[in-house]
Amino acid sequence: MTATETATAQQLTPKHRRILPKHTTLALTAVTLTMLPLIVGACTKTNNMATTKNYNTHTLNIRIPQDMDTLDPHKASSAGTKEVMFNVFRGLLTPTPNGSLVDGIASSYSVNNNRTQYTFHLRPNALFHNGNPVESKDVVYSYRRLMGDMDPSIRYKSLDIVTGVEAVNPSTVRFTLSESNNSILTEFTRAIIPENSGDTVGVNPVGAGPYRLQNYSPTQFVALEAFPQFYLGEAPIKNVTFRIIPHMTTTILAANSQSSNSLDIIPDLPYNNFKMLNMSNFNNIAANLNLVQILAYNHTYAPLANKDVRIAISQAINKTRIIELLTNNEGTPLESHMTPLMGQYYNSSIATPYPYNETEALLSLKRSPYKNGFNLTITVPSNYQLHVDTAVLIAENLNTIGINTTIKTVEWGVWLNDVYKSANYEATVVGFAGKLDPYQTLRRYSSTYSNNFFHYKNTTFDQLINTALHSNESQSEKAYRDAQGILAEDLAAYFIMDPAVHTAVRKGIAGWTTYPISVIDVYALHTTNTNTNTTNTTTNTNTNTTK
Amino acid sequence: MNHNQGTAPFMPLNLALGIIFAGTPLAMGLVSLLYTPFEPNLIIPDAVSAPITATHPLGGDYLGRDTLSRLMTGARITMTMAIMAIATATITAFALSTTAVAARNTTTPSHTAQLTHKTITFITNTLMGIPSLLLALAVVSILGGGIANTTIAITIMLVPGLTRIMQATLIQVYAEDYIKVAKTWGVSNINIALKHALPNATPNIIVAIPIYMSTAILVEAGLSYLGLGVAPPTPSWGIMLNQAIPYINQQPMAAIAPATTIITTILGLNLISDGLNQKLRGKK
Amino acid sequence: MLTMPTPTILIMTKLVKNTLDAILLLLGVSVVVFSLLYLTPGNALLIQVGVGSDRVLTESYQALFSLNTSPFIQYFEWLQGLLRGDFGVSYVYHAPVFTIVLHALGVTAVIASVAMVIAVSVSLPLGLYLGSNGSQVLRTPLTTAVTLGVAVPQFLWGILLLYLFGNVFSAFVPGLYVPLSSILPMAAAGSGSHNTIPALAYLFAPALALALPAIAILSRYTYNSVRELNAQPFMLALHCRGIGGWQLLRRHTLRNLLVGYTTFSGILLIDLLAGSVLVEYIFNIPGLGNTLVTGIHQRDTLLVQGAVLYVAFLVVVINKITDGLYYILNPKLRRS
Repeated sequence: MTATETATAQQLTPKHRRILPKHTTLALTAVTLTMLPLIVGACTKTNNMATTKNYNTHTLNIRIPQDMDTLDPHKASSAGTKEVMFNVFRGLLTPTPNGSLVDGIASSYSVNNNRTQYTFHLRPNALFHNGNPVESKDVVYSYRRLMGDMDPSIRYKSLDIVTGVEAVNPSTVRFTLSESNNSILTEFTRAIIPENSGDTVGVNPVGAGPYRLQNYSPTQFVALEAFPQFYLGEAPIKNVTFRIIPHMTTTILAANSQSSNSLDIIPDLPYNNFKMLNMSNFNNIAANLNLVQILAYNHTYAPLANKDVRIAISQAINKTRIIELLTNNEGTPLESHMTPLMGQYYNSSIATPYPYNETEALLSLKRSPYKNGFNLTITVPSNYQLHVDTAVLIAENLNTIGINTTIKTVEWGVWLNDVYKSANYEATVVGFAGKLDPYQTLRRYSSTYSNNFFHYKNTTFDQLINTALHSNESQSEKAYRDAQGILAEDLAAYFIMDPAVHTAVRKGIAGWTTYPISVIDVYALHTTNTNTNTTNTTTNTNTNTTK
Repeated sequence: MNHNQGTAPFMPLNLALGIIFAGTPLAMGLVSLLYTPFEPNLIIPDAVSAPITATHPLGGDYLGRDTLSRLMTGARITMTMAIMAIATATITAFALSTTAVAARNTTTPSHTAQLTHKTITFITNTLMGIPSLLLALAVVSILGGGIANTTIAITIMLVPGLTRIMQATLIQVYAEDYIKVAKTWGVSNINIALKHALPNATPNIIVAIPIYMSTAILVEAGLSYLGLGVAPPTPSWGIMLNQAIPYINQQPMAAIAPATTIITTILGLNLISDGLNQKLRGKK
Repeated sequence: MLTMPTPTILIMTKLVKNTLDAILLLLGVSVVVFSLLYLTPGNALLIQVGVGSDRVLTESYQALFSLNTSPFIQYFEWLQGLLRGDFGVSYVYHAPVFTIVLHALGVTAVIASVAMVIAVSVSLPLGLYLGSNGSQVLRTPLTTAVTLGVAVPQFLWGILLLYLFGNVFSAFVPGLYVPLSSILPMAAAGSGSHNTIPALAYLFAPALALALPAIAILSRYTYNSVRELNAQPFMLALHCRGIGGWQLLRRHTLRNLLVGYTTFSGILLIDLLAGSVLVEYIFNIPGLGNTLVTGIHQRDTLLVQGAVLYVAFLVVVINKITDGLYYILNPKLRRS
């Protein structure tokens, strides 16, 4: 541009004065924005107290983190599905909060002398949601379906010992087994569905439980309504909706919402998330999960096959710090693959074989062929923050004694394929959800178990759990305890803890019970007449007795 | 109405501020190569959710690590990934788009030229049609995680968008007469691309780059949110932010620090882009 | 000597060519997606059974997930199904893929459209104002405020807006998605009008979260383009001839601006339609993003293939439209 043009242009350009310096605005904005997360955090606590809800007209909202994998009780694998559908179906026997089994659809049962025959007598007043009485033919149908007779894609290994199930008369069913087996009782908790309903049960789940399905909106909610003719009487809470909210922050916001449709019960929250709730509206119920969290070893990885190395690792890891930092000190430290919630099966007398001691750890390592350490990769599933954090703490400990530890986070599907199925890993941090049956809990370490992805082999252990499976009650309990002792002494894995969680129950609702397995028992819930202000902290002590 | 801005200032305020905002994390990152107050991954028992003190100017995080040290190291790691991703993506996108546009704009397009154009458009469009999560998941699962592979994932995600934008610019550039003249003089395609198209497209590209760098930073944050980013305990802003939000009650600074840094860096990058725009246009 | 083909034949040829191109693209995308899913470790059965179940992996159970079929046959069978109009049944939802994707797409499309409307109606006037005239005082705070839309990570916006509309305004319960259809009165249950505010808020809040970055990008682009345009000599010439204000805007500024603006909008729209994963996850919306993520995490091949096909189809359509707009708006690009 020529000089004249520039001059003309400058004359055409109006002059403005700045009122505020530029950087002030920017700075102010930046500062305000940084305050926003703080404000969110603070404000979620200062909501007013919600008014008392009337659960006769309102539905009880319970938050669950995952969608149902199927409505068919014989096909459901995920814990999240089972804990919800527990309310829709019933089996011959029913689990209780202390892990024992009581009568369900069966009002009584008898066992023959060598425990190869179980005869169940059905309640006369047990009805399905369609109004039909529950008869032995339905039980026969259900179990034949579970054993693969109807749909070849459904089959359960634990029922392999059942050689026959027959309807003796409309109210009596007899099971014949090929051998006596202590685990069989838990198999009698499986859902009974009406005869020939297999094809439709995934869409229209009809069971004999206290609630029937009212509406299912995939990824959004499962709405249940009380079944008036339930054999133990109609449930106190008439309508319950399980809200599927995967995201934790959204859950907290939903709980703190002032709407009458906000969340009433938020189960299984880790401590730090629990603290974000407005506690003037909720009661706090703390419990352990009956989850065994371990640092699993692949025993075919040479350094880990060496016992001195495993001893060194046990001595290097500061378990107390893990429990303190990650569970606010509420987790229960474990010495073997079972938690105290398993009652008399739990071996409470295992002394820590190799306690935390960094100096000793270094010495143990020096005794091994790996004096200068070795490389270790811990593969963790990225969707379980607890396990990822645990791995970080463990890695820090191990690096201190010279084991060069790196962490590899993988997606859950990749973990299942690479670690669980193909055992293509060195070490991993994982948690195993609780089961009622001690055999199913421990058999993961059995050398004949197809999913023994630890490649762990100990014949004494195998013998012990086999004995436990077949012998009488007191011998069985002792055998299970001894088996745990072997796992501890042999350092089959590094056993970390049973994490603690908090359930928030809105004030005005009582009856929340924690089970050692995945169960949300809505039938036990009822309203209280007055709003109590006392926080209700009950830790879960269990005695696991089976008949 | 402004018809022009007069002579372009040497350093528009936009640009200066942008350089300060975006440059500070960059400087932090460079410093972290030599010095950080603490080891970024060091777990200090007393520092769990520690308050702001002289020892820990930004407090401690939920595992007891010094937030400032992690922020500095995170700056280095995040910026490195962003810079590498944008550099690779820009070069790739430029190569792809010039080839495509040149092939299309020949007056008598030969079969190879048409095919080239078609193939490149095909590849770009295909990449755009694939959900970025699947792309990232596949890359990370097959190649493994870590800084290098996450950068590759980010690059792959940036290329289609960049190519499309560059194509839009280049279509206009290649439609200009001087390109046609150059072709009739027999200048090779590569020379046209590098000597004629590039200088004329450069202003637009330079203005676009800071913007895409901020995209890279946000993509990294998103990836670590979904568990596909850098492996712990390595800090990156994305991981720091995601891991700190559940503990926001105990020590909000552990979340505020990375959040503010991300926001100011991206603001800075955008300001740089604005400033460059002003400066480069003024020269015309 | 050949005579020139008639216009009808030209158009037909072009149409056929475009359709073939589109089909080729869709095939290409589906092959890549299928391969990526196949190569990623893990499969749907493994993920369903998980760690705790003792269900036996019988042959027929495995066959439900096509685990014993070779990938080539699987892909081929999927193609065959397509020709019949059968997209298969989702492993995760046990329902036809077509229905699931259609429903999810509906949800996402509505939110994306609202987001786009918000973005365009804010960014275009804003950019034009700032670029053409703009008081110096307002320009900086406005540009900064607008840039924040893209500077603040999207999931933070999502959380903030969820909190604002859910907890502060109590327009809805966060996480409880209220579909627009619930506004319609239900026959037995009475009127659904009490759902109006939650449903609309649950539409507006996520749309806003999606629109904020788009506003930032589009405003900046508009602002820069307009300033650049105004600096050009022909603009000065027009101004001297007395053409100003609306006329200038309509005939000249907008014409030149819209080519690039459309490109950007097209790309943004594609992003929005593919479903924003983070925003949908935070708001708990059953849109395409969430569905796709679930499908990918559970290796639900048929669901992912179906969803990607839809999105790819939309990409093709939108690209064609933007290409067409280039021709209309920029005469230099027209070739005979």
